[in-house]
Amino acid sequence: MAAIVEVKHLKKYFPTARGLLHAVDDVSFSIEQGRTMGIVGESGCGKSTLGRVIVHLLDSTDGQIIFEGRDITHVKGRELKKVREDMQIIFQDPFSSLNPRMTIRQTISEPLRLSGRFRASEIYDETQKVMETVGIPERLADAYPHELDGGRRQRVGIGRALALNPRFVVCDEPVSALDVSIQAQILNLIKELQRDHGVAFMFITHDLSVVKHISHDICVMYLGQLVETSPSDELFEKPLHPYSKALLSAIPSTDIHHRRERILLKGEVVSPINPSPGCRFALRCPYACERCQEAQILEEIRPNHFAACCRVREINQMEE
Amino acid sequence: MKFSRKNRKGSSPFMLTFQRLCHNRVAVIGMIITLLLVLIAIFAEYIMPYPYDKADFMATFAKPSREHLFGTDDLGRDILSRLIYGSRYSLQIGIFSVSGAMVGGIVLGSIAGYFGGWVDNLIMRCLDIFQAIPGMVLSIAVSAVLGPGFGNCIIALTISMIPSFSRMMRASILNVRKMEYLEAASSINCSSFRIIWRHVLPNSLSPLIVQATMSVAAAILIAAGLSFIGLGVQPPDPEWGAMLSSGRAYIRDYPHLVLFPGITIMIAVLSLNMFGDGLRDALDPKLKD
Amino acid sequence: MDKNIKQNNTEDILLSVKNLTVQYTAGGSVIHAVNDVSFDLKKGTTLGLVGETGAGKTTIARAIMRVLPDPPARIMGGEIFLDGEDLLKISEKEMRKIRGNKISMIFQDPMTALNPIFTIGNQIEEVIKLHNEHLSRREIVQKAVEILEMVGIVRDRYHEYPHQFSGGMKQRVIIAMALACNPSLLLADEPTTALDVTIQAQVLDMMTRLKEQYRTSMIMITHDMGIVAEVCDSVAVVYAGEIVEIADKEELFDHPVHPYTVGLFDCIPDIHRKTDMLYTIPGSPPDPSDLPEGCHFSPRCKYASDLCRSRGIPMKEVRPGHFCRCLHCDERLEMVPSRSQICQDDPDTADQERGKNGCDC
Repeated sequence: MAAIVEVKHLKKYFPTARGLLHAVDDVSFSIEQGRTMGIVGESGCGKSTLGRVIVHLLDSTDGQIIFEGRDITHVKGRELKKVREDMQIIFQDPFSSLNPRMTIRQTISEPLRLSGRFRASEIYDETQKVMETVGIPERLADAYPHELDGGRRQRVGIGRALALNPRFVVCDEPVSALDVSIQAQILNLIKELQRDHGVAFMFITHDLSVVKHISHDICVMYLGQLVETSPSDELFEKPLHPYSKALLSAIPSTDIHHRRERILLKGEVVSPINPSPGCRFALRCPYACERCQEAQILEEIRPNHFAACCRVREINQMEE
Repeated sequence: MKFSRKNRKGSSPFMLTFQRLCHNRVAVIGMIITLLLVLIAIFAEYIMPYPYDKADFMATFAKPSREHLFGTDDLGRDILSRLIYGSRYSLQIGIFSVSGAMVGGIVLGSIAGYFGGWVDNLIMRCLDIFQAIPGMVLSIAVSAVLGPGFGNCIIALTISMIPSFSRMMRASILNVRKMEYLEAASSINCSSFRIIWRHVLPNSLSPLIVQATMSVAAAILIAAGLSFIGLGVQPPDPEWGAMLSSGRAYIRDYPHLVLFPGITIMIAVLSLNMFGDGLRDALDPKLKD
Repeated sequence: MDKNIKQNNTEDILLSVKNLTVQYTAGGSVIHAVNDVSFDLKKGTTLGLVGETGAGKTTIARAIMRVLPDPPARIMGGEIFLDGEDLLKISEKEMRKIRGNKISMIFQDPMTALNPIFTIGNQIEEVIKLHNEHLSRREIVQKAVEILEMVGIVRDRYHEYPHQFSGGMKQRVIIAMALACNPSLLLADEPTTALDVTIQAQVLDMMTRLKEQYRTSMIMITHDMGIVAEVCDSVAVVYAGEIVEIADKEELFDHPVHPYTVGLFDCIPDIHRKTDMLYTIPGSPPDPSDLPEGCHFSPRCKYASDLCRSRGIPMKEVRPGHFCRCLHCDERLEMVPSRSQICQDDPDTADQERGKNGCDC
């Protein structure tokens, strides 16, 4: 299948008072048409920045973003406008992502209006269609965001993103601010949209059970770098990188009869300001050794399953 | 708490604010008195019992009586009529100077807040210089340079109030700038102008509106002060502060010459502040729902 | 109110909440935040209060702590016995002695619970000083350092300020402070929600350890069934201000009866099973100022009958120690396969089973 989005050696550095913050550092991956790539990591690992750089809400420092075979890293003006119509983003916070002074209809119709593709008379019907797709009843069209609950607001956010039928959508933690019963509704909606419209998603989250449910492939990020990427099922069955292992074992499970052994990490997540070239996880890693001071390369350990750890083979043999 | 869709009509943010305002008794009283003052100013000519400048030398310093409810002044002019007509000057000074300062503040504050960087620095440092001088002193200085008079008084007040409005606008815009809906707007190809106009301004104006009502009261006070020291509205025009000023010579023998203008200023300022306070509570998003 | 009878099995019950009702009044409408909630907490055990945002979990905890802002909140009725003493009847002065000494509370956001202008050490000392007036200055410092090390923070950081600590460390300090006075009851309000998973694992691990060490009883407020599974001994599911189901953890996890509880379990994506579509509970939680008649869950419940909508639902003991607020609980007990069975079954048939339950979104 053809890759719809390809990212090559993408970097995003932020200048801070204490030095350069390597928010995204040399990240490469590709997402195929109609599939979902999950990006997992803890807060501050650069996953949201990565999403925003890809949809051009932030400029990249270095690297390439390729969309449908075309390099769009530095597009400007009219080109950028076209790119933005094909790539959209859904935000985390359904409370701050909607303008409190615009009605639901105004919010959803705004992208339609701005695209210039529709005549004024068509916009009303199009908006109606979008609202139907994302499951907002018509009686709420003239409501304001504060009258809606979190789940419905998030549907509006999804509606706005999908109004112009984009082919690629970044979802930045779209369900982490929602209650579980609502979360399931939104996850199902995203899955349905993918099934019906063939949209490719990049799904950013810190919740591993959600990412397992929704994605075909998963990238695990730690402090701006990819540490492991693999098909979803395989990652959950056989994580290779020590960080992924710890992350998976840390999810509180509802299964009370099969207690798993937890890998407790020591230490805290630091921020990647002027990082040393070595493995960034080494400080917290139970397997850290001297070779970890060198830069780690993402290596194909099993088919389609990459990990960036110099001791990955050793560690996994040890366990088998 | 979440979705009360019972009265769909009154659910726009504006209507909600108004409804909340109406729940606040103090604010409603303030609003009614303010409205009354405005009505009095508009229809001053028809309400006042005597022409404001008609001197009656037979009845100078008359005590309040049935004929002259608030008494008369040193030239025998009816104080009630002068207060009624004077409301035009006082309210106009308050409203025009605050509107001027608001427009200036919104423009400067939005530019500084939205674009940031050196533009922000330049604008804010210039305003800092203005703000380093106390408002009253600045107004006195401007009036002294431009000369006394009604129009100049408004200009002086406007200039002295612009910095605080700009600062507030900038802070408010900085707050809104963090919101994800601005990112969402740029991701659906909104232009910078449209983002400011549709998404930033409507959401950052509410603190400014509150500040404006309060500032009208402050402006009336400063204008009264300016008139009091002879730099504001000139006699025989009956501005409240000017009346206070001209009556001060007789304060021992005829206290009603200063008492009634003083009380009028107090009522106007108090009611505007009450209204402003209520408005702030009504607009505060933390109290929403 | 009149059943102020001394319990006969008070020996091992630390906290007993009876018919607690709390209302908020806001802009003319009455918000029924907590409605007739009763539960017991045994010494040394942990009760999980599970529910969604706005279900009234935090209000219950605040009512026990008596820190509800009045107005707008008002405790309309009920009794809260701590060691046989009704906390709602004693004076504010006595209550102040109980807060911190016998009951401590941990809040969700570690960022705002510490005072930014004092050092971490200072703040721990402060707590110790408040509750141990006889200690000398040196003893206080020594105890504070001990506490800090107990939660795995090195002595060197004693003189640092809160902004120099990460979220996980702050939350550990707060937990340490809460446990410093050896309270008999700890109220933890979503203590790990603001933290990352690996840090959450650290904090939960530490909490369970300290709780065992000090034999503290705990009420754990959370929305995460996984956390309940990890740390709690019994569970109460809260919906629209009511406890709809309460039982021991094993019992509740294996045999959930109330349709809401079952739905809660099913709509969590399970990392051990592959499902295409998740089960969803249709609709949204009700507006607490306008609760539905009868069973508050009935508008979202597919088993609801006219009877459900007509009157309040009493709590019923479906199995020993397992209470449920549902008219159809007996039929449902037979109908719902136990969860451990589903997990062991062939995943395909289990999927179909759930598929039948419908996924209406």
